[in-house]
Amino acid sequence: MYKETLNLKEHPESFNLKAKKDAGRFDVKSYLKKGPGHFPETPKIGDKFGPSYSTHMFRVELAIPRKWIDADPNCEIHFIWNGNCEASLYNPVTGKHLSAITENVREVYHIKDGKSKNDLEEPGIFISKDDKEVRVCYLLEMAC
Amino acid sequence: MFGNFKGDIWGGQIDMNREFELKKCEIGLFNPKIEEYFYSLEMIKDAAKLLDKK
Repeated sequence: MYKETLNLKEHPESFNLKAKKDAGRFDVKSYLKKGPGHFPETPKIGDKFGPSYSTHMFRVELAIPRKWIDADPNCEIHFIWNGNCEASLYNPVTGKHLSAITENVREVYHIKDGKSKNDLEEPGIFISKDDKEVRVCYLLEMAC
Repeated sequence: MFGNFKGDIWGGQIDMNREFELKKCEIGLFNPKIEEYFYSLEMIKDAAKLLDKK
C-alpha cells in the first residue's frame, strides 16, 4: 500500500541505526539525549537479539526524502519495524512514549499523517533538513 | 513476552534461549488511494459471497 519504500538493507544511506544490546529494562531515561556514540552496535536486517526477557535499545535515525514532501505536503509517511517481538518507540529527548510495536499486530508508526500529526516538526524528534532530506530520530526499546 | 512460548501458549514452556530476528526497518510513503481500492475490492468480494447464497 505504498508509493515508495526505503529499507535498511537496500538503502542504508537513509538510516543511521545504532543499538545497545542488553540495556536495562524500563531504563529509557538513561538513553535520552544520547548521541549515536552511546550505542556501540550497528545492526543489520537478519541480526538476532535475545535471549527471552532481555531488552535492547536502538537509536533510529531516518532520512526522509524531501521529494516525498515537496510532491505532496499532506503526504503520509510511515516507519515500519519488525523485530520479531514487542517494542516501544519514544521521543529521544523528552522520553515521551509514542507507540507500541508488535510483530504482525502493529508494525507501522505514523511519522506524518497528512492531517494533524507531523514528527518532521516535533521538537526532540526533528534533527535537521536540507534540499534532499529531513532527518528525524527515535529511541526504540526492543523487549524480547 | 507472549511470543516466548515453545509451541502452545496455554501450558507451553517458555523458551529462555530464544533469539529474535530483526526483520524490517523501513520508511514508506503511504498511498491512501491503493488502500481505498483494496477495501473496495474486499467489500465486493464479501458482497459476491452473499450473492452466491441467493
